[in-house]
Amino acid sequence: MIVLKKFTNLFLLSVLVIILSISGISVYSEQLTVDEIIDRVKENQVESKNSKMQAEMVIIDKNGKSETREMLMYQKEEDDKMSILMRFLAPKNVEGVTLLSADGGDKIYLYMPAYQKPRRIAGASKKESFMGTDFSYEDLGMDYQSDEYEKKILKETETLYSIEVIPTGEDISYSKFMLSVDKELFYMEKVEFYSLEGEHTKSLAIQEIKVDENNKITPTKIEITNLIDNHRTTLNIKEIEYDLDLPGDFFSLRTMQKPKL
Amino acid sequence: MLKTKVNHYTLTVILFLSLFIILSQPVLAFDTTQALLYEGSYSLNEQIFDHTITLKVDYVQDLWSDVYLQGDLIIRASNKKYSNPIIFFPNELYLNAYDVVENLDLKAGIITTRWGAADFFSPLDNLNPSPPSLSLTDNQDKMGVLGISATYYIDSLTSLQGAFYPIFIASPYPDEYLQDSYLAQFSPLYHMQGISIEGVELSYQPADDFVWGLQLSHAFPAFDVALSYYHGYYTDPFPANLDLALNPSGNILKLTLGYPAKQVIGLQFQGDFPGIDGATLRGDLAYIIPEKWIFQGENLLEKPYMKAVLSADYTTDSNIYLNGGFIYGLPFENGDQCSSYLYLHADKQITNTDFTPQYTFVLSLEDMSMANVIGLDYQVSENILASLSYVFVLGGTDSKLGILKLSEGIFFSLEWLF
Repeated sequence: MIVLKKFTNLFLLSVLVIILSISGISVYSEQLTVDEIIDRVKENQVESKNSKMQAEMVIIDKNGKSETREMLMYQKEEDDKMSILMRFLAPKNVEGVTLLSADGGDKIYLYMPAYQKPRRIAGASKKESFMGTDFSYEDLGMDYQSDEYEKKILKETETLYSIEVIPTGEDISYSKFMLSVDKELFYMEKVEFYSLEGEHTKSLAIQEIKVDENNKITPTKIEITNLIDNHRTTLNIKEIEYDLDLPGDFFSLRTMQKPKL
Repeated sequence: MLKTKVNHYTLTVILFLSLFIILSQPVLAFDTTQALLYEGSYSLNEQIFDHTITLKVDYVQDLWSDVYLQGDLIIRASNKKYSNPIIFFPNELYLNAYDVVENLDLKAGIITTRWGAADFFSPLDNLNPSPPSLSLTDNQDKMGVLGISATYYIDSLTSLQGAFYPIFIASPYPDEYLQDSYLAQFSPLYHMQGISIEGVELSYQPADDFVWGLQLSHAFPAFDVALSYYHGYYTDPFPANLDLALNPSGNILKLTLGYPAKQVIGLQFQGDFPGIDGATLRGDLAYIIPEKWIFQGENLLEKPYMKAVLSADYTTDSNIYLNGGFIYGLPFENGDQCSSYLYLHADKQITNTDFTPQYTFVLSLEDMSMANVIGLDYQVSENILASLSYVFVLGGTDSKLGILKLSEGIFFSLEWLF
């Protein structure tokens, strides 16, 4: 059970890191308006019906102790709901452990080969920290670029736009996001998350990117820092594929029990 | 001295096999995961140390598209009282084929089919026998059995699974253990009549039918629900006939054991706990229809009866994992013996350390006897886990949980995954 809980936490942390990184938390660059900056960022994001990613995740605690995990993750978005199927490939103590998050996180299952059957895990309320992680389901589904959010350029340097995003019209757990947008390539270098009390609680930084032949940008190294726990997670994306021909029922209990994905 | 030699021999065999498996892995082209587990225990009642070393090899091989050869091999050496010094067997070995025909998946070979949503003591998990030991802290192990399992996916939310085992396999209680148990049970009764019993001779009534089951599952938005039907046998032996053979050299009890047939109609569910965000509710309800079983004029099994496990698990804000619930009928209880229990498991990893203390109890609501496990896990390194636990029972040997007094002691394990 301890192992189960730890896996669940790691999975959710991993999923959130990845989602935040590739779904485009983007926003934003010359004498452009804030909306024009956001449009440029959106244009540079890869649009796909689904994706498959192989990555290495390094979790570093406040004492500097690190754990490295290798994972394979599939995701798709349908009707504004994200589905994720993710499996740890290494090390041995987590190999084969698989998480399915379907219908935007409403249904979550964990499959551990030793347990021999999928185990459903209750969805928490959108605002709650899930299973002890520093992230919530809300982080998963949040559209930082929503037209409904109030945005303004706070600062402009030679290389960056600093944009403040105030979420409005929704009942969410953050008072604001601070986005740093690269002026040359129009991708988000950094996102800072502020709690309702105005405290800067976590940051996401895109440290390395890959630009394809169509000038679409894929982050390849991301770091998330939890400033409350002084806990960091670095994600190194080794390989990513878009628009795969996946069966309609791919994000299912059936698939998660397969020995090979 | 002989035991020490045997242990050295078996340990050498295990180490040799470990090396062989590691070195031959590239040649065999299997994907394998090995676990080497040492388990030591000190029995407080018998005041003896037991040692067991197990090498478990899980393997998967792609045969062709969506068809796999899978299994796990177990090699075990032990000096436990009723255990073979060394055993070597494939616990599972099967072909796993997906989309044999559209939406139909098949497993065939030595397989394990697990039903039930409860984490502990599920009364619906009947298709495969368990080893004779009972785990209070984890999902009970199961033993693979020759059979076939087919799952048809009616749609992405609904599936129908069928399992068919042509040969019934019982839980492998060693004869020596059963002989000692029955001798302890019957010898005092004969002694009162002035007859001393020297030993017990066992014979078995074979089960004469196959084992099968069906399960229909559906995932609702907040809950997964499954209905199941099992047709098979009790996997623990029941006494069927007892004769006394009077010999000048010593009186022997000739005991015939059998496995009563049973049918189980089951309902299982797991999903959101109403009103508590983040808590998962799991339940297994079993309606058991036994074969009528009479031994020495006493009805051991007669009428249909219920067993149930209703549980919830939750992680608190301070990262304490809780898993607790209500049990009606433990695995060793049948028919009228079934009674009510509460159980709770709690653990928490100590912040910024690799230590996880844990506590588990099972409490009889009938006589308040209580089995307790206090433990500590230590993650030595990424792939090495050490565990220490102390098991004790509050209540007499004749209490509802008195049977677990035999397990009182200190347990240590060290597991290396490679």
